[in-house]
Amino acid sequence: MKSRFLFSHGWRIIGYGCFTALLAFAIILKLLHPEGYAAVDLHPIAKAAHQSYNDVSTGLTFMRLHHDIVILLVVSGLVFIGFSKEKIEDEQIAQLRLDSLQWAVYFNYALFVGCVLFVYGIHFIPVLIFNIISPLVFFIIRFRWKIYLLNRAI
Amino acid sequence: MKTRFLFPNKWRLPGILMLLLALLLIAYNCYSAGGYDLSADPGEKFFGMGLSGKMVIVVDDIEYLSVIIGLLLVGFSKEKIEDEQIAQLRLDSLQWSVYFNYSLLIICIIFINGLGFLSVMAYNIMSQLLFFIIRFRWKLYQLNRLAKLEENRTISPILK
Repeated sequence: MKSRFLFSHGWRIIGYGCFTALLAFAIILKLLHPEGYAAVDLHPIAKAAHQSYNDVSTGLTFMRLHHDIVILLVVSGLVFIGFSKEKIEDEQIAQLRLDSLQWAVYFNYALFVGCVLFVYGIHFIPVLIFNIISPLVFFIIRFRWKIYLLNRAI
Repeated sequence: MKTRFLFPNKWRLPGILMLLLALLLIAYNCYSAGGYDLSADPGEKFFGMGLSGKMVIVVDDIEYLSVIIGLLLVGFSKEKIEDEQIAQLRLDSLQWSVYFNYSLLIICIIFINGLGFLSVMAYNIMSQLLFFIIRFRWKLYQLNRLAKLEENRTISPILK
């Protein structure tokens, strides 16, 4: 069985790089705004752009940009980590990867069904947000765990 | 390559029935409630039938569950003749659908902000399975058509 649609091995480092960038971004934001989003209007970038826009709109724009950057970094990082080739790519690993993907889909939907049953109204929104990244997270965890078991058996 | 974690072939029919039920419920919700209402009042009447807010929640739950379970059953039930090539096609399609879904999602993240993103996330629940099923069926159709063409080509000189 050939493995198709995969990134080359080097992309995994880029994936980890995405998370490092995310961490750096979070730390910088924390240093700039120790109080959280309430102070976002006072951001230097918002101040610098003050000539053409008013404070509120630039603050909001920056906040939206910030959300976008965070989600994009998380999603692309997870895809690169999950779908980059192993150093030695053989049939068994390809099988393990696709098995894990299917397992992750099942596991994710099982959890999601639980959430549908027990979470209502406005509290359902965080569930939807986590649902964006959770299949990839479960997939990566199971794939790594299976590869660890395989290596230990050898 | 062995196929694992699959439902028996018979389970596809219940899956399709559940999808039909979901379709009915979605159409019903669209025409009665007028879209996704965050501030759903528990005392609200449901389509003038006097159903209470709790009933609305139950109906919403049934809608979600029937979509998810129906798609899972249709997507992951065994084919009648299950061989290695079909298993390969299935898992390839699954991986392809993950890529496709996340590419679409990234575009949506960039271009849709605020409350509109809520409906993107709601569609995101089922879009991946939907893309998977469409691509898997399409690839199977192509495979069958190819097999039929081959068959005709080999048989016809003898018969005619």
